[in-house]
Order: sequence, then C-alpha cells, then structure tokens
Amino acid sequence: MLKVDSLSKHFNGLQAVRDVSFTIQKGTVTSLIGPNGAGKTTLFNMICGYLKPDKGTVNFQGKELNGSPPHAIASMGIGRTFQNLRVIKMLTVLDNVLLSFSDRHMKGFPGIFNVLRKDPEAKNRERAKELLDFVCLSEKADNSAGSLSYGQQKLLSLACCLALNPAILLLDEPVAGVNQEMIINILALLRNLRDKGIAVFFIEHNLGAVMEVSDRLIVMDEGSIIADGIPSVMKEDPAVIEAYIT
Amino acid sequence: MFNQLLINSMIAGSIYTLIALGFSLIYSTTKFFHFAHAAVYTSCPYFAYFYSIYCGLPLGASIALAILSSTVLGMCTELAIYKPLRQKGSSSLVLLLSSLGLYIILQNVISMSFGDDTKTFRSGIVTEGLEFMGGRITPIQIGIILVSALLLVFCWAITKYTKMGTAMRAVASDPELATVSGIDTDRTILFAFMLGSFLAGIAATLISFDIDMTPTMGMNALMMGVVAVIIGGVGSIPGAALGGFLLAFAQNFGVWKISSQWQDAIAFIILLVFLLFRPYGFFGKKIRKVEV
Amino acid sequence: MDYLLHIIIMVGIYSIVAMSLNLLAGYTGLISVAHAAFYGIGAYTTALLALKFGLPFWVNIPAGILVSGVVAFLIAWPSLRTYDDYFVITTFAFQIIIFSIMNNWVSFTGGPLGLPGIPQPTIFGMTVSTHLLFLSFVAAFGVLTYLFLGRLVDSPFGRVLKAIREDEIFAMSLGKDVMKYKITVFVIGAATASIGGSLYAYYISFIDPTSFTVMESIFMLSIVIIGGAGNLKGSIVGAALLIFIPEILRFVGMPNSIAANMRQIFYGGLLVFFMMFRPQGLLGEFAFGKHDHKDSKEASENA
Repeated sequence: MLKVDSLSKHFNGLQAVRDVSFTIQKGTVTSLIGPNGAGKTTLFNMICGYLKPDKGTVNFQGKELNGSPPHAIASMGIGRTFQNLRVIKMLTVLDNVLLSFSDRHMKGFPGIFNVLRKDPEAKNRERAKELLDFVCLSEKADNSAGSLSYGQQKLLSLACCLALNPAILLLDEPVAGVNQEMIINILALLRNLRDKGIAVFFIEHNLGAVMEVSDRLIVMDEGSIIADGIPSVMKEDPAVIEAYIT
Repeated sequence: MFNQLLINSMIAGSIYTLIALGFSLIYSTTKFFHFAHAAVYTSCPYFAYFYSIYCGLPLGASIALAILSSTVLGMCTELAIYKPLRQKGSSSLVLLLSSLGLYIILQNVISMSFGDDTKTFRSGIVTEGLEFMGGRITPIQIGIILVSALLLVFCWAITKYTKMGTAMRAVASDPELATVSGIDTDRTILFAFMLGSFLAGIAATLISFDIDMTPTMGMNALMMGVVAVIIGGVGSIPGAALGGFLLAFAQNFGVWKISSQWQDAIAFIILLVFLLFRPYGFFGKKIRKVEV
Repeated sequence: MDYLLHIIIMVGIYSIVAMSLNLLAGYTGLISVAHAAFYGIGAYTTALLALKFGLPFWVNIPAGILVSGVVAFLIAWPSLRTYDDYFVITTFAFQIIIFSIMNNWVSFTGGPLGLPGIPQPTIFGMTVSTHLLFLSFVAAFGVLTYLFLGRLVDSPFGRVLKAIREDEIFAMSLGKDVMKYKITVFVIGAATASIGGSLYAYYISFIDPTSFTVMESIFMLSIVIIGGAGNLKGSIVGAALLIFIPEILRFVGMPNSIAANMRQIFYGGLLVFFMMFRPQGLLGEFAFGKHDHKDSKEASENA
C-alpha cells in the first residue's frame, strides 16, 4: 500500500538517505531500526512531505506523492507522530483531537462564515471522545494537554493522528521515554490497530518493544537498508549486529 | 550627470556600508534585529552636539567623547535588556519587540532634549565642493568615503586576525559549539555590540557634517543598513560593502529615472526581492530556513 | 465633556484595529507591522468615495474592507513565505511601500497634503455630527467587530489558528493547509482594520499620510502586546490604557511640547517592561515563544 522506490537525500554533501526501497502492506506492523544518524527520521520526513527527495518516488495506494505538501499527504491517510512530541499544550486534550477534523470551513471563500453557525461540530465531538476512549484518555478530556504526563501526551498524539482515519501510521519512537506499563499499553494499541487493518510503521530504539510487536523489521545504517525481514531471523544477522556495534 | 550620480552613490554607499557592517556584526552573533541600533546611531551626533554646544568643549574632543558615549549606550542595551532576556531563553521575537520599545524610548528622549528641528555642525558658508571627474564633491564627503574604507579594512582585520574576531565568527556560525569550545559567548556578544555601535556612531557623525541631523534619522538609516545586509549576506564583511554600494547605486540611478520621493520604496522593493528569493544574500550562509 | 467623548471614540477606533491585529499576531502568531497601511487603505478608500462620489457610509466602509482585503491578499502570499523576525521585516517593507504610495501619488491621494473636508456619515437622513452620535456610530461597529472576531476565534477555525501559533508542523501533520489559514487570517485582519480607518476618516474629516506610518503600526502592535496577545478583551483594555493614560498625563500639567514624546516613551517603556517581565501582556496567552523552526530543523537533520 505504501511503496517507496530508490529514495535518496543528501544535506550539504552528506548522503543521509541512499536509494531506499521497500513496500508496506496493510494490516502489518513494521519497525525501522538503526543507529543514530542512519537516516530514519529523514526517510519519514520525505514520505510525509516535509522534505523533498533528491530522487526516488513514494507511492501510496497507487498515487504518487512526490511534491505534495505535508498537510495534503496527511489528509490522504498517512498519519504521523514526531520524535520530539508535538501536541498543543495550551489546548485541552479534547481540543487537540478535534483539531484533526475536517476543514469544512475552509472549503471556498464563503466557507469561513460557517463559523457563525451554532455548534458546527457536535458529530466530531462524539468521534473525538471515542478516540480518547480508545487510547484510554477519556477522563482527561477537558484537561489541558500540558498537564498530562509524557506518556499520556504520547497517547494523545496517537489519538490525534487516528482522527484522520489513516490507512498507515508512521510513528517516530512511539515508546521512547515512557515507563514499562505505558510501553505495554502502547504496544497493545499498535496490535489493535494492526488487527483493524491499519499499517503501522515505526522507528524505535527500544529493541525489546520492537521484537515484541513487529511482524517485520527493516534495518538502516548510514542511509541504506542493510536488512529487511522477519525479526526472529534478523536477530542473528551479522550485518545487523555489526551496524549496532560500530 | 552620470558622474555626479556615481559620486553620490559612493558617498551614500559608504555610509550604508558602515551601518550595515555594525548591524551585521550584532545580528550575526545574536540572531535578532536590534532596532535600537538606530537610536544608538542617532545618539552619537547628538552627544557631540551636547558636548560642543552645551558643554563648550572643542569640536574634536566632543566628537571623540560622543563616539565613546554612544558606544557605551549600545553596550548598555545589551547588558541591561538583551542579556537578561537571552538568559531567560526569550525568543528572537521577544528581543525584536523589546528592541523596538527601546528605540522608541531613546528616540523620544533625544527629541525631548534637543527638539525635532534639524541641527547642524556646519558653521559658516556652505561650500560648493571641489570639482572631480565632471561632478562635485566636498571635503567632508571625501572624508566619508575614506573613513568608511579605512573602517571596513579595520573590521575585516579584526574579524580575521584577532581572537575576539574569531570568537565572533564562531558564535555567529554555531553558538552552542562555541560555548562548548570555551568561548565566553556573553563577552563576545558584548564586543560585537561595542564594535557595531562604534561604527554606527561614526557613520551618524560623518553624515551629520554633510546633511545635518534630526532625531529620527536613525530609523531610515538602519533600514538601509538592513537592506544592505540582506543583499550582501548576514555575517559577511565584503557582503555588507557590496550590499551598501549596490543599494546606493540602485537608489541614485533609480531616482534619476523616476523621482526622488520613491527612494525608500526602491530600497524596500529590493529588500523584498532578496527576502523572497535569496534570503541569505550574495555571501551569507543559509542561517535560517524559510520553509521547512 | 466633549474631550472625554473624543478620547473614548479614539479608544473605540483603536480597539477595532487592535482586535484585528490581535487575530493575526496574538491568535496566529504572525507579528505584522503593516497594519497601519491597511487602516490607511480603509481611510483613503472611504474618504475618496465620500468626497468624489458622495456615496453613503454603508457603501464606503464595505468598499474599504474590499480594497484592503484585496491588497492584503496580494501581499500575503509572498510575505508568508518568510518566518518570525523575517516576516516582521517583510511587513515593515510593505508598510513603507504602501506609505510611499499614499504620500507620493499626489493626483490620487492628495500626497502629503492629504484629503480634507470628508463629509460626515448620514443614517436615515440624520447626520452623525455630534461626539455622542459618533461614539454610538463607532460603538456599533466595535460591537459588531468584537462579536464577529469573537465567534471566529472560539470556533474550530480559531482552534486551528492557535495550533498554528503553537506548533505549525503539528497542524500540518493533522492535515491543515497552514498557508491557506495564514493567508485567510491576514486578509480578515487587514479588512477589519480598514473599518477602523474608515471610521477615523469620517471622524477627523481630514486624513493625511502621517497617520499611517510604520510608527503607527508599531503603536497598534504595542496595544495588542500590552493588552494581551491572544485575547480580544485585552486589545480593548490595551487601547484604553495606551490612549487614556497619556491624556491624563497631559491633564496633570505636562507641557504640550513634550506631551507627544512622553506618550511614546510611555508605550515604548511599557513594551520593554512587558517583554522583559510578562510577554503575554495583561490578559493574553501568547508569549511570543518560537517552537517550530528549531524543532523542524532537528526533525530534518536527525537521521
């Protein structure tokens, strides 16, 4: 469903990503691992439209994505979370999720006056509450996002992303910096999402979590993919081990 | 006519270069728009006026003292306002806005103390200027060009050959790395303010011998300096000169074809063109991403 | 008494302008010093239509809104390609350019001499001629502006604006066309400011370019900041504060010659004070922090 072909990117002479190709199917959990500087987040940024690749293509559900801006790609059904957790701390938890819902008021110039209608988002509110339920944040709905713990904020960012009805989720380090209990929660959610048919593709350094939940493992080092396969097999792969030691 | 325009461009370009240089030194080390630089600029000739007219000191001493005073004023803005804000982690927007407020205060203090009318240093008759290559140039104007050239070389030497100069370049390109390497960032920034304010004060004093002074002369001068810096590239000394002279030429020749009232508009249209298409100018490094 | 009404009218006019700038700067984080230009476009459009064609206010004021909106739309797209302090400089440049046009296009705008003799507005045959009547006139527009902008910022649209202000990249990742939102808010802000300009033109019945300079823009921005960025009520409080207090100082016997300077020192000083100790102003919620570009720089340079 997501097909990446020969994607490359260099910065100031440093080749960050080098001819990366792979395909992700729906209803799978794939993890992307590799040492720091391997090019993982840069790869994510290219897929999601934050960076323009030097060469290569990205295909999503048959459509080519190249050149589309990030918001358009998000609307097409590619959800994303970030390494440095992004939520709007100043807004309530519920408001953060409500942000994702459609921009009906931006369709065409007179659309702006939709804002003058009574409660334009009753239905969205319902759906937002459902999503908060899914990530177990319901009791916090009216609290400010800033008052949540780090782990809870991670759940919130997941909920926001899900509000877009994505077909694939690109998560950048979803369990970094949270306690063991929260890791178990998040991994359970990821399995749940996979079972619903959503593709989960995530970057992680926590190899325990990776082994727990992934159907497939892609390993990057110095911009290239050095291994791509089933986790249990890859554990023994010398190239993988070397990449982590050197 | 052409030659006169050339001469006028050389004079204006020299002044713009000095302002651009001072501003660039400060911006490259601190990464925010020090608008109050305009007030530091303006303060120098007014200090000189104060020392010579009100205190009765000889002109030479007054000017020297004035340059000292305005340099200290510039350093005070850093010590009293910007440094505390930086230590608090304030964004460059906050610094910009506080600088605007500071400018307003200082400019109005000057207005209140000296009045809004133009003041002059020139005593005696207005000389016609010497003939030179088909145009006219006064001794003061020759002085402006020479002093600017000297200061340009002086600054270049400082940034290239002294320890402080190297420190300034280090802080400009990577402040975190500079601190880790043992450079005292605060002292380096203070030095940049000292040098920048020094240049601004001299520029203002030179120009007030040629064209007189008003309390609001700084803002316009500063904006021309900012345009020059953006054209030439932030943090580049040859860039400041290139930008200053290019701007002066564009304005003078443009005004020849259109009319002098559009002088400002010309400068700002050039600014916009560069900001939108080449924000790092000719020699600058890409210090800020315009888009993600 | 008339004098007091005069002050309140000016507070009313500046409140409208400040609220419109707050939409842009306080709610969306787009610090602009071009607002006096749009205020001025409203004033000139209304003045010219009233003087040359004798059109009534309910044509002139919307005309001003339209012209301001169109100009804002034209300059929005190039301006919004720059960020933060560079955006401020870009708006500075446009402000000066528009001012130059007002000052130099003598045949159209009257140049430095301005446009005198603007007729007073008439409603149902009655001329708005006394201060009290004009105050009601301004108050009506003020209330409408407050209600409209209030609805806007409390709506889903307003929520996205705050998100853009706090974390633009996050907003993009949720499918928001951030550029479109910014352009929209820039245009609405400019169009609303022009209402203030139109009212000013009618009130003073004479306009010239000196009322629409970059220093005027900075004054408007100061009202927004001191009153509170991100809070419409703050703009009203800010306008009252920055207009009343200097007048009181004048009353207490400050010589006229320095009154104008003291007024500027007052708000310049407040600006510095608030930036140093309370950047969100009296009632605001936005403290002008920048989150995005450092983060996005990291995001793209981390592997």
